[in-house]
Amino acid sequence: MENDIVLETVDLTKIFPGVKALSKMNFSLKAGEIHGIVGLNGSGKTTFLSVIGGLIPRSSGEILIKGQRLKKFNLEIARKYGIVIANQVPAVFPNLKVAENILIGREQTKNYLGFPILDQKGMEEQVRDFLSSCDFQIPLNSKISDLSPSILKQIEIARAMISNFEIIGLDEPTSMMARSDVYKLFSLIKQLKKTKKAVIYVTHRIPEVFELCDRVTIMKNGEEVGTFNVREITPDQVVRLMTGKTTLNFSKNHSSSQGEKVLDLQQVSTKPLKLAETPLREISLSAYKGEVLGIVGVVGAGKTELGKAIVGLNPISSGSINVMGIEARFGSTMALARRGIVYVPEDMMKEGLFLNFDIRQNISLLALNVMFRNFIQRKKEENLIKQYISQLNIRPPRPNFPVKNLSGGNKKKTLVARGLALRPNLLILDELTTGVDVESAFDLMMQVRELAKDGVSVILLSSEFERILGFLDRVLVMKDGRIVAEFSSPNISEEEVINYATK
Amino acid sequence: MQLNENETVAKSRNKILAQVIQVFSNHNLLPWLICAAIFLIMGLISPSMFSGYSIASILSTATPGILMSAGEIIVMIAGSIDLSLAASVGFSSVLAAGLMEKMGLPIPLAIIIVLLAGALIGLINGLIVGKGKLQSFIVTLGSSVVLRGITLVYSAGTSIPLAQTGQTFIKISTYQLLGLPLYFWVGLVLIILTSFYILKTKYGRHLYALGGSELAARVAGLRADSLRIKAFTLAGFFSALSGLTLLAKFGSGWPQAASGWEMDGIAASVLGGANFAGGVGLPLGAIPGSIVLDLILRFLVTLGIDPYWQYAAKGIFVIIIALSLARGEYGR
Repeated sequence: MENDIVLETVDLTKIFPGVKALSKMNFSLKAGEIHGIVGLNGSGKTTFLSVIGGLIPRSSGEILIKGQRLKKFNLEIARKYGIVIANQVPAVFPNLKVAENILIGREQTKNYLGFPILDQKGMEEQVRDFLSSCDFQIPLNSKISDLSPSILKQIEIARAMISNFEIIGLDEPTSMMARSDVYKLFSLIKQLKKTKKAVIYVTHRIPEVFELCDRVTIMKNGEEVGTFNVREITPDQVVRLMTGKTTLNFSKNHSSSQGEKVLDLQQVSTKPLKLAETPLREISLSAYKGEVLGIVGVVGAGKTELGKAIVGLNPISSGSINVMGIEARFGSTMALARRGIVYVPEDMMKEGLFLNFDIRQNISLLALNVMFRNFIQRKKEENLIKQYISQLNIRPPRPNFPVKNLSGGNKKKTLVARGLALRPNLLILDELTTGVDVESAFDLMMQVRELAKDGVSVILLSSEFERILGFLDRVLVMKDGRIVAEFSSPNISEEEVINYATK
Repeated sequence: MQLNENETVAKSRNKILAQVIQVFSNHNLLPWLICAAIFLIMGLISPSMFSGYSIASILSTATPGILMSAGEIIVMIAGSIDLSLAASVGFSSVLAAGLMEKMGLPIPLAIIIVLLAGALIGLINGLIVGKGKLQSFIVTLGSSVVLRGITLVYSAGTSIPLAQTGQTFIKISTYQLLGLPLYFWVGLVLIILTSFYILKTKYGRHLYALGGSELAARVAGLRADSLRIKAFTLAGFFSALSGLTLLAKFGSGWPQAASGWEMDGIAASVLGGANFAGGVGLPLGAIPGSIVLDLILRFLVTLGIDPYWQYAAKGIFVIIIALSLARGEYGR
């Protein structure tokens, strides 16, 4: 077995300005192995993948491929040895076609009068063959901008898999992915194992490790905590090693008394602005003070569209939306925010955070409007955000730290803090737990319960049922732009919710 | 550890100093350093550079460019670009000359009209870009041609020399204060005030947000269009001010004034800390940015380089400095 090792790293270290993202990482990967890497956000999983994929240079340490020590290592060399990476956030080109996206950098050419020109037909055929072999259903003729996040994720994975690779690194492949597509992906990965390919499977979803992987490496603060045979370790032990905590208590502790009505929707319908949007169909619902309401459904059920309609970001075509006694109209987003009605978007990088800003400026953006008339008092601003940095446990706890260098979970917390800093009355959180590790998700959900205790009405829009159901007072299930079921605590069953959401 | 350090630093130094440091923080400091370094190097080569006369000459020569670039930086913070500012400078100087000489308007009234006209031009640019959801590059490219045309029509294609009322205007605006003309001080004060405003108010914060990510700004409920329109209006105001200083310097409203300044203005803005992606920069950066451009030209002249080669050499210098300002992000 020993000579089966295709990739090995010794004391691999990566230092970013001010942060040791990866510290003396020792890792080995065998042919035909599915090797899981788990760890909280910011533990160095993605950094490790980026280094061995040649995307960023290492600071020190060794990389060995099939026992051969490589002095020089970069993207070209990684490619030459058949190492490919599928990123957590799909890197797609919205101006290119699906096939062009998948084959980017590996285009086929044919000779035309002695000149090599792109072989469009051949490329499309190659992509079609590949997709049918792996059972991914990606509409080849659609515009990228019309595709769902789940499909974009499949494009990213397909791009890595279509090459002749020996080693593939998958970074959180199931985040953003619809449940049915996850099963296809799993069977595809198991296929790879049979053909003696080596898979590095990076995730923070521990059940997936136990379903797929042979071995698992646990990371914490940029270091390897341990590598185990999956049969010799339990999920509880993995969580303990990841977090240093004994158990994560996901129990509920809320009262179920109903407060005054904060939000009231009557027969709200919308027409889609873009092709990818799901139109809302005659949605009626209410939300109450001090209540945590979940609106759940699969990706594309219309949750985001509903959230945006409530805060006046999307126009409605019929029906009425009443928030705290006033009519929410298209374009009244800022007026609603002043009254403490906030929507926290799902897409942090595009719709949420300002990457040219630091933590302070990102958090205070909305609160400024309430706190100051014109001039910003630096001290007041600083004090405000320090409170939220510690309340949400944002790491590093430095107000002037650039947001673009934060890890995924801390980015999410920063974005949520922006809503909290406004002292909201109605807080709509879109996919709060997506891309967030177990510990951060738990922190966030406990914050949500605290808010409810203080009388805030919280609406969680989510496709990750299992992570939030336990915290909810009430849940509405959405499907194809309609509300198809409603359950109240304690009568919320995961099976039933999934049943209504998917069938 | 880092946090503690920052706290002790903040406590130990006095507040004003801390604020000044904030103003010059990160990227906004670099242009000043580069400017100082180039000035020092040139001074070592030709020591006459350090004379009070030479410094005053550099500052007053650069003033029109500084004012225009200050406007450009405001627009670039918002993530747009304004190619019509140079044409607006030319238009303003001709309009001011016309109002004073042809129509004999009193000087304060003429100045007010010119400044309002400049702001109006900016407002129209902003409205077309914002409400029409068009790219600022192409809109302002168009409006710059329109402005040049209007300028030619208004001046009938010839320059308007300042003879009567205008002479008083020149006298007042070039009145020497601490060895520098009044227009320099007015411009400096306005740029400092505007920078302070952009750094310290909600408007400024929102402008940086808009430049950082327009989509995120809209989702957060910011009024992206009106923020941008205000930025263009401010830029128009500054280019009108630039036109007035140009008129005071040359004593004549010339329709081709400031032609070719479009690129200089953008180069000075980038050298002054703004960038095409938006979301960074400060109007104050126009000062080192424009002075560096001016110094490069002076340097080439002192070296006795063939005037035709000066253009190419200037361009090379600009690229080298832009490279040193780059922050490891991808260009476009």
